[in-house]
Amino acid sequence: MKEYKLVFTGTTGAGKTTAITAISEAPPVKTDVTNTDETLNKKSTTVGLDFGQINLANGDRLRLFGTPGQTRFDFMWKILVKDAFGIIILIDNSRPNPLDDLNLYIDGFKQELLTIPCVVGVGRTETHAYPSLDEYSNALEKLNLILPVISVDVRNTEDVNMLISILMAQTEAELI
Amino acid sequence: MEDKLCLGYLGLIKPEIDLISTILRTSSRLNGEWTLVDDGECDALIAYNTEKDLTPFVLKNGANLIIIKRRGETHPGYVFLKPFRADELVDVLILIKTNRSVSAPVRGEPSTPQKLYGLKKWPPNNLLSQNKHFMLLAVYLSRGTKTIENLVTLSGQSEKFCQQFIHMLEQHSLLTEDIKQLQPERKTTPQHIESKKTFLSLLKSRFGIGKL
Repeated sequence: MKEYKLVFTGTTGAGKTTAITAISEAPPVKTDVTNTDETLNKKSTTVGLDFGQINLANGDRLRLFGTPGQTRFDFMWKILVKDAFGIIILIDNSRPNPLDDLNLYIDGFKQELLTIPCVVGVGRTETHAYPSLDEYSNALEKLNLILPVISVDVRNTEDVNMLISILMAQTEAELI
Repeated sequence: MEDKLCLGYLGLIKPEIDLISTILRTSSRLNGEWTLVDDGECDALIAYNTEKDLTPFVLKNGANLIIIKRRGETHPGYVFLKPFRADELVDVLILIKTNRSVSAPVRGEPSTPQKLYGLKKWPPNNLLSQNKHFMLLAVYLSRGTKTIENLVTLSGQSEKFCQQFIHMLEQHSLLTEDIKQLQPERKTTPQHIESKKTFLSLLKSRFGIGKL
């Protein structure tokens, strides 16, 4: 039996826990506690990592990991992303500096992004249109990166499936 | 016109044969590329077991077995799971066809210069939204330079469509271009690549995902 890993990362409140919950077969293991940060409009926040699982038809498993959003847990990022099938970076466009947030995760996974497929999902664009998706592309271009950037609502399973489809297409492209 | 690919079958009952025949005939994604055959040479064979005697079929070089299993059972290769889902069989047949294109040997042809295309950056949304298949092509290019032939193989779209996409990128200064001599070589697919292809196929089946 083989096990594969998919890592969801991004800022606190970007929707990592929600995305994993949307697709995990088993009820995801969450490490949430009451949020005491008044700047965040959420009742609970992840302080460890989220874990979900998908069973494939031949018995193999896809394990879903959500990194903790706060940067004090960034030491876990490299551990989690090792040998991952893909990385999904979720950005909350309602935050004060979403492009700075993106830079943080691009920098944190700089080495891994050389080989592991990655897609950027930008949330809350329906209420916060700026930065635009094109501005994200421009920011990545300055970092010599070409990553798919799409608008998502991770409460919608189809949007989470789209992120995974993009990772699969990237993996297929590398096999040719 | 390219010859159709042949799918043989062993040990199936008539309703199963009729179902598979209908899927091959009506699937827009397969586009009539596969035909069900009763005997003779075949590009793939669907069966309940990995039988040694495949009479009356003869597997072509590089042909694949598709084994029928119940959901929850394991098998290290292509599977078609019961209860059947049409899209899962379509996924497997597309994967088999794609793998055959990648591993087909090129014999004795002179080296042919081909253009390699790449992206300068992820294209703007207003361009990608012009056609639902453009994002997929952009995703493929985001992972490194590709020839038109690569894009056709990966996407299943026509050469004309892929050329149209490349032209659009060029018009908007989003394209990099290089010419590379490609030496003809006999390709074999390493085991880890096969393993990854199987994983992708299973993942697509699990999520019910076709192309983007």
